[in-house]
Amino acid sequence: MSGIATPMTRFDATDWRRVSRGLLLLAPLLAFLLVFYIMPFANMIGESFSYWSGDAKTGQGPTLFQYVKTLESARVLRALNRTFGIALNTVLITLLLSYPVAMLLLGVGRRLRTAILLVTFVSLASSLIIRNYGWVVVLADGGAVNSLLMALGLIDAPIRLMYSELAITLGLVHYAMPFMILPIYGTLLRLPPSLREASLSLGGSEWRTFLHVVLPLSLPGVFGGTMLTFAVSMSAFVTPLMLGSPRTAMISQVAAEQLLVQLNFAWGSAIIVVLTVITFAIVAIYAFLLRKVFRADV
Amino acid sequence: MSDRSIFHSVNSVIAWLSLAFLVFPVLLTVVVSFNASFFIEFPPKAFSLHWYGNIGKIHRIVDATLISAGIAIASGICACILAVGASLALSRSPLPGRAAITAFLLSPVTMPMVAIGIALVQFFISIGTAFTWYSLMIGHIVLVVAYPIRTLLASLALTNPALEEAAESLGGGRWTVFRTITLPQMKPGLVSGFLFASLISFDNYPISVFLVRGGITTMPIEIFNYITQNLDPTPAAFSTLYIVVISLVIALAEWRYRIISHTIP
Amino acid sequence: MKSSKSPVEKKLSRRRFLTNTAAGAVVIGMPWVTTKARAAGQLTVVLNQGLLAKLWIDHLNPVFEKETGAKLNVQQSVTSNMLAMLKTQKDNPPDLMQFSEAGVFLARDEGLLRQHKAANIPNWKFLRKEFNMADDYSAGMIDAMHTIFYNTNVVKEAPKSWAELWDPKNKNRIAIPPVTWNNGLRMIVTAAEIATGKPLAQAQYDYEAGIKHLAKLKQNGVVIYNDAPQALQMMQSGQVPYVPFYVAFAAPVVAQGAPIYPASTLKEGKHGEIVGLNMPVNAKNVELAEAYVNLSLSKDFQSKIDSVLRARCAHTEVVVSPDTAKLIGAPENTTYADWAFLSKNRAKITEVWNEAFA
Repeated sequence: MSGIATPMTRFDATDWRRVSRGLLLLAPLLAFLLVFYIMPFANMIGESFSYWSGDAKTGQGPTLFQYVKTLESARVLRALNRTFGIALNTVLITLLLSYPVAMLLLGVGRRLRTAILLVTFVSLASSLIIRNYGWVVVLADGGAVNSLLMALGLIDAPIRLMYSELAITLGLVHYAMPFMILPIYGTLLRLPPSLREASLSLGGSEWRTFLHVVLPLSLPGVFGGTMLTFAVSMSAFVTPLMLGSPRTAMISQVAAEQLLVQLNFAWGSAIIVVLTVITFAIVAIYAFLLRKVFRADV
Repeated sequence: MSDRSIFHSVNSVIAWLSLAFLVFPVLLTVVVSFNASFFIEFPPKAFSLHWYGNIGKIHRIVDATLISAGIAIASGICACILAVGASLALSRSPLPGRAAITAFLLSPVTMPMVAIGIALVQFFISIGTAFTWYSLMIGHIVLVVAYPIRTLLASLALTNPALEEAAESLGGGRWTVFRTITLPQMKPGLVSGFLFASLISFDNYPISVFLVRGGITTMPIEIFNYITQNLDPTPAAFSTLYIVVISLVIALAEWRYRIISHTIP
Repeated sequence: MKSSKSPVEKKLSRRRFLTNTAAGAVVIGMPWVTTKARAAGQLTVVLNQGLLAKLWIDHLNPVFEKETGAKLNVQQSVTSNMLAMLKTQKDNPPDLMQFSEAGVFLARDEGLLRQHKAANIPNWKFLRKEFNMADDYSAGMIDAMHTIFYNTNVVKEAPKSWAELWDPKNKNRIAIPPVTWNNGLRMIVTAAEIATGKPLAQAQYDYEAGIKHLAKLKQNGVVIYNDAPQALQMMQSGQVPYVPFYVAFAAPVVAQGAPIYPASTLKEGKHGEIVGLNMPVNAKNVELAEAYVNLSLSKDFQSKIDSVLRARCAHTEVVVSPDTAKLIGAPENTTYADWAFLSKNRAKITEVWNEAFA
């Protein structure tokens, strides 16, 4: 039962009244976002087209100098590459770990389901800093993983796990899992069980049923979860700050350093714009692919 | 063994391992918080409650936590109020470009938080109201307003506008109709939207760190500072307390209000 | 749960409970309660990092608050970030900042600092000459000695030279500080010394050669640390046994029995760096700031710098104790750099370092 009003073929007085009422309801939020979201960003984008006081060339602008600098900086490109790699890994691993949990939730009894969902929610509600600190504890040289591996005799001396891309990826996966489990579970809930039963009764194996019936129908939830995980990983700031080292800097850290320490607002803004554009572009292409190629309803 | 049970067994194994993965760091933090040693080591050789007493030593922790809580609740309420109007408009009125407007309103979620923080601090400095409680709240509202919108749109999509039209035709004023018909139907979306918004605001670091200075500070900032300055496991004690409190709050909310079932999108 | 109340009544009281709690929390968190300045005054101080700042936090701040009745607002940062803070907060700066000579000359030349008035600070007469930096612009407190720390369980003999970091024998056993820390810049200077063969006084201007030589450490599997706890954790676990670090930041940990020790003599010289308290030019609470500086220069507190942080302090009457001398070695082996030059070029040096390492 859709609550969305269906547009009429001819606009009459009632429709105009509805539209104006709608605009009135929408106005406060739009005004708020105009002042505190669009304007600051427009300002930042404007900055990115100007020169910095410490640049080799200076002038009035507008100029593409900062963007050229971004594309020519080996460091920024390395950071972008690294960030993209970590984001992809995070999305894949999170999906592989979260989908089974969503399916498990369908099969267990009510009490267990509530308990698992509670754990998921508490994880969601726990501060990111606290969760990352948990990984500091687990991966430390004297921490749990190393102690376990040494006790099992697999290693002689602690291996360096912390302050690495591995640690960052683990931290991000841990952060993103609730964001992936809940949407997928939500879509799976809405699938009529008769579909699965029909497929099985027609002679399909459990695995084929999953691949050809359940998975495609759950794509809206998968899309929601993967899109959010990807966006969050691309713009990650706190996690690499706590679990990484200067050699594993992700793009948000590079931008923040320019903006806060070097006080190069022009270049810092340009880096942020590039990151945002890339993230949005990838998400848009991803949505397009899912809609057109896989005919999913996202 | 039938293929049905192999599939389900494999799935269950992976699922339980994933859940263990989710819980593991928390369990370890709890254990480390009772470790007498100054360094992080596992397994602990001696136990002590010393670090719990040390929590008070975290710089301005009480102040910071209260500020974070106040901002979280205020941002959540303001975000919900703003979102109610917008989601009603988007789901009930035949506005042109609805999809584009919705995408725009939800965009702060995918925007890098560092970008939001820095853009806003520059903006506030230029209008002269930087580093105040209100500028921090505004920054948080921008970040979290997308969540109540999403949950309210989901709630409203499940409702029938014919109910409202019927009530109006029966002579109910617009406000009465809203209060008695629309609002109760929106309640699940409101509750979960408010919860998401407040939690995300309370826990936020990247935006807060750019918007605060001097008198104002938030809990994530002080905890982060302590972790990067000190070696001892006091943050483990704080984390344990925090998680216990949050778990109790969520368990209580689930028991009385069934929020979990309402939040599944 | 059976209750005699009707569903409507239950709903109302539940709602009331929620609203009251929410209202209460909002009121408590409201701005006027937390940002109201106290009658006796407030002092905003930005201290340095780790255990060095902890000495002030644990031993000086409580005494200051009790004596003056003022409330202290403490933040922590590193020199490079503090310089940026000075520039962006020119109209509303903190009242005192604790950073080293690495930033003092630049800050003074850019007109960001205000001179200390010796007349208002009675303990100024006890200030050692070399700790009075930039003609009264900085009240030096402590000489934060920087050297190579080694793990005594893993390494039997103390390193004798900075060049040992480049020894392929030490692959995957070395770390260096980030360029955002001042010792990161000193590493560049020492690398320049080693690479060009010139003495420190000349080599320190050739930072490009220094960074190029430092970058060779990547082949030796060098780890770059983020912050003090990370460096300490690496050292004491033995996983990375050679970590250049400040003695003052690690001395309390050594005292706790951690298996780490500083190299007391290095061929190219250990790095001395004087950290002091500096007043931004538009600071509001000058009187309280001067009281803070005075208290920091008191003999009582300065002797703690020797006994706890194991470093040379500013007070003329506090002599380096034998235990401290053992850790920091001979004063002749300590070198100081031309921070006027290094800080002016810091932005460029940082960029080149970033391109090489990050």
